[in-house]
Amino acid sequence: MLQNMRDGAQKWIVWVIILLIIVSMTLWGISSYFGMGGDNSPAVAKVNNLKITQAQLSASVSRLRLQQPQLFATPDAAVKLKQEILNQLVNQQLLTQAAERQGFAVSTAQLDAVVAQIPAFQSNQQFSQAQFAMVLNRLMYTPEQFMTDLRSMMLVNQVRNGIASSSFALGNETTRFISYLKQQRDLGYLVIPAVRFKTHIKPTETQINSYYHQHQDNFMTPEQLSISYLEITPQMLNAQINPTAAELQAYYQTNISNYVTPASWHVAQIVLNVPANATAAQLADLNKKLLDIKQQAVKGVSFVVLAKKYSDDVLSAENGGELPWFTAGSLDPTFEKTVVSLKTGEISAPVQTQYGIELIKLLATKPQTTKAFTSVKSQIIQAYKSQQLQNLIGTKNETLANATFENPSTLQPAAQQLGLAIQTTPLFTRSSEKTGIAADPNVVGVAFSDNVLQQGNNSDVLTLKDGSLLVVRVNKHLAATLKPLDAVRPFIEQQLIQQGAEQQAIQLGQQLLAQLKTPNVSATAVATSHKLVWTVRTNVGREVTGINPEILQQAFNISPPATNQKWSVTGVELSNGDYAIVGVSKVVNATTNAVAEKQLAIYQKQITDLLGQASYGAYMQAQKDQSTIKVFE
Amino acid sequence: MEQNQTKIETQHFKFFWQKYGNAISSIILVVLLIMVGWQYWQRREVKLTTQASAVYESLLVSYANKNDPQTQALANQIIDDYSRTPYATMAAFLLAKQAVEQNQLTVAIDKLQWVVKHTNDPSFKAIAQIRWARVLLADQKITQALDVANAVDAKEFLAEADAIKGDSYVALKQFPQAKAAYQQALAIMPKESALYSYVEMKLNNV
Repeated sequence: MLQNMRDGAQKWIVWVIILLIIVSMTLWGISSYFGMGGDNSPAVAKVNNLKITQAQLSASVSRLRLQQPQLFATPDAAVKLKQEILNQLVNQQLLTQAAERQGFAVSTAQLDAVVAQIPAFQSNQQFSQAQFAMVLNRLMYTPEQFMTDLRSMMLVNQVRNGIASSSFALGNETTRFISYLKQQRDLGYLVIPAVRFKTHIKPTETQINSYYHQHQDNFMTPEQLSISYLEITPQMLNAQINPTAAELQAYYQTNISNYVTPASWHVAQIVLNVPANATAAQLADLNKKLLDIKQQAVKGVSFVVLAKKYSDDVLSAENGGELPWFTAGSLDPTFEKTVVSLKTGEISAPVQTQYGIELIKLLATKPQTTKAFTSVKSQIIQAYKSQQLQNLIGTKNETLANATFENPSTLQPAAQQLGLAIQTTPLFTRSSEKTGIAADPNVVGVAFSDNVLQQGNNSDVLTLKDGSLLVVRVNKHLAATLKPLDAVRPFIEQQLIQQGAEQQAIQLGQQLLAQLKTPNVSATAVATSHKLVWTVRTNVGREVTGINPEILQQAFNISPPATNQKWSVTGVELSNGDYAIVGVSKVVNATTNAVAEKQLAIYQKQITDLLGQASYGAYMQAQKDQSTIKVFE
Repeated sequence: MEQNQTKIETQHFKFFWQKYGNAISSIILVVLLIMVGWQYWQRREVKLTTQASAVYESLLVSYANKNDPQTQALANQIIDDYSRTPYATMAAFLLAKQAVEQNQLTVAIDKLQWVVKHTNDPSFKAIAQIRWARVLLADQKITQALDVANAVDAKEFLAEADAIKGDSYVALKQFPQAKAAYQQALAIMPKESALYSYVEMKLNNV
């Protein structure tokens, strides 16, 4: 059968089959054939079976790191941030899928229109392909990825906008909100100070003991470390570099190209454009025209005038054909070769270059010059020294690394070999030092590392910020220890007394609270009977000063009193350990009359935003509930 | 030898084709027609949706510029021409908001009711129901508002619905029921919700 296919007589069958394949490809979209294989990067999460890949995550992290490196200051923060970014990617993916499922769509034309309007992609107020490519490159985006992300952003935005910006606040809602927000309350309160009970409390030995055992983590001395180290600083090495005159001279000779100013030329030109695919006849014509022009110049017509009249290079023609000074190697080779062969004032024969066919006139020449050794001596010393320093640091680094690695349990051989003194630091904790090498978090990290601290080895060679080389090992290690009971006994006693006092304050408070809830009781009388004060304040707003803010807040969290009650009361433990009883006797709601028109609009907007956010929040939750989200790792 | 072989194969094929050729051709034709039809329908849908999307984008711009007549015209265009796309829902939401701002509560109710009837998406339906109930409350139709709030069934929106039931009971002066509804709302609402302290404030004033 295959044979038949190749046979001329049956060619039409082949054509039918090929035609079918082509038709189906165009119908189903070729892109889907290529879309399937693609991304081999492992998945970090899956949203309804759509992957979020490791590569996507890393790219997003790098992008943020590029824009806000300060967020990644500590390893802990970086890990947290990565988690946060993954959550965002999952969310974005989730909401994009939801929008698509609901039937939202963004066309390529819409995408392009948005891209064209983004200022970062514009130069001279117009979209620039080059600028676009550059910005994307800096953001580590391929155009395809960028468009995909942009599209997903627009999709999600359409839904968010649709829900949030159609939110509204009704007149009755705003009025009610203001009536509560600006309301005034009559309130009363008393405070039971915990300190009142402190003298009665004597913690027993068993209590102290059990507190000590339950809170051992709080009573540890921090782990401390002293390290020995070898340090090679650039200053030490610099002192060893004393170049001789001969060495400097040799350096000068080897690097002579740094001290040479190359030859340069100043020329004028008359260029005639050569049409693409010019015929020999056309070239001959142009050639002849140039020869005529040259003839005129020889006869005494100024080159400047001729250039203005004939040259097709508009820019230089305005200047009488003059070009800026140029140095060897910067222009078309044929052009340069012609210029070099000219004497000053001479006009070349017609010559074809990449610019066209042209006459060149040499106006002036500056020969190549070399700066004398003496005039650049200080530069040479500096360059030579820095070169030598780099070499020296390289060799010292190697020696130090070898010597400390081959004798991992001592710094002595390395010290001898390099002529260094072994230095030691005082004891320090992970975060105690402000100066010296133990203030460098890298050094501290290495000192407390498994290799150095647990295994007792020399560290690898560290390079500090100033270029110094460092190898450290443990000199002395004090593990974290539990402080003896007697050292912390006063502290524990204080804690227990405070706790006990707070307990008793709460007990009394609850007892009083019960009394205050009985009908027709006098709050003042209840307070006085326990040597406390019932303070009454009338017409109090939320913003009033002069009342403990915790008490004030509580006062506004109480429902108004029932009709048969004078006070509606509740108790609250204050942050300082005291216990307060707060009551409300009257609530007067505000009217909108008291609120300026402008203020009214602001509250209305607040409620609108609030309800919009709540709806969108519930919408997002609903999408989450309808999806299967898997996060790996 | 090979010549012969080829000839025989060709003969076989001719026989085969004479017998089944018509059937095969018709099947291929039908399959092709179905494929073309499906593709055509698909593309038409995509085209409709992206058109709606583009009109919707200009609707948002028009709304942001406070161009009321244009906003209304564009929104109605979407609802009329693209009623099966979600953009019709979004347009109806926007019209409802506009009506509320112009104090035309019956118009707002009309638009929100349209969404409840037409949308396939449970979240959009719930959002419309909640807004509808609120407008009814503002329009003093309290028992109707309660009915609409009670009909909310998307579970992520139940807290909002409970809060509106609380508002309804307050309007009916049935304070114990109001308190219970607000408490229920707070119990199922995530603490970080934008609405939490708003509802809490209402509870503290019952």
